[in-house]
Amino acid sequence: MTTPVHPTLAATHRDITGKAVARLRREGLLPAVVFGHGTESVSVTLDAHAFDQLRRHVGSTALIDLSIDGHRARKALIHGVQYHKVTRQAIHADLFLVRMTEELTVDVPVHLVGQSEAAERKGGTLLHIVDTVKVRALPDHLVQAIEISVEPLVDFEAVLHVRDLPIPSGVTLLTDPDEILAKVLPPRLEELPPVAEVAEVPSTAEAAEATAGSAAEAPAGD
Amino acid sequence: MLMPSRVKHRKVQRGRMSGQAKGGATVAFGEYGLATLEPAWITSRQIEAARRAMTRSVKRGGKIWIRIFPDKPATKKPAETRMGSGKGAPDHWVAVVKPGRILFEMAGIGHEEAVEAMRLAGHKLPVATRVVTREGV
Repeated sequence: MTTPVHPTLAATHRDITGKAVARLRREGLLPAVVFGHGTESVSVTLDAHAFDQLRRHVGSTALIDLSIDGHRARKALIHGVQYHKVTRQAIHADLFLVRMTEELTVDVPVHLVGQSEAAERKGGTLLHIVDTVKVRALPDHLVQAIEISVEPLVDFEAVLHVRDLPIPSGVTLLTDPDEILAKVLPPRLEELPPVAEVAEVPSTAEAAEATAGSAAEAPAGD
Repeated sequence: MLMPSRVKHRKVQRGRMSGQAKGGATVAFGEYGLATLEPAWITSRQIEAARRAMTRSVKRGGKIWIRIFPDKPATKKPAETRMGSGKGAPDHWVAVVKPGRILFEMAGIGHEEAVEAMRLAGHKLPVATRVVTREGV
């Protein structure tokens, strides 16, 4: 059996902490922290662009080979990323060193696949209510995403629950199975302009009368 | 228009709008969001105008969420009144937003359609805005 190849990420040890890390960000580096069960936490820097590319391609539940200062690579998980609220750029990352024999609890994204008849033919709106589910598994059994077909959503009453997800073997679902995962909302009708606006336009004769009347009344009002 | 049904105090102090949004800065319900890049008071009229612009642009289908609520009373003194004599009367309702706050969300429509609808909505608001997508969409 061949061991799966994990994407690699290089990190360098970091001594700069606190507000001074803003300078690192300006230089294209991303401050991060590496921690794990039974290991001391280490402050590191990553290449911001490389991290962004990695995160886009592997998602949040994939194991990565993390090497700090060129030392032996260790398996890690992207545990959390903080984003700037305005620029939406990553400003800090948490990397969790995993033990291959210890179970992990992670949030796995749920992907909806296929076509729903209610959404496609009846013009409804497919609502993806729960987009991640919490699962517990050994690092080897972690999946990047769980896919579920939306084809059972044939009308607006049909709903998909978390319990309908195809959970792979070796993975334990922790999210409430009765939670609604996806459903289709009935189509929203076009909002018409208020009828009153059209009805209030007077006919030409009425308008002439009104103008004459208001012109007569105006001096009296003053 | 949006307004609270009941409030504890008729008039409140104006406050400051420094810093960034503390909460409501991620797209939580839909696929696309309209985020503000500036701090401002957004009135209930502006929220309604933006919602209408979005709704009319999309025509059919889709769902819209309004992520802000105008719960702050804004007061106004009558025109041609001398200064003093106390605070003015409650005039309208505003929502206080800070940079990064998601104002509206949309789902169930295409990317181009959502961006256009939110562009039109952005023109009804007193702030610079940006269209953002939910992570993973």
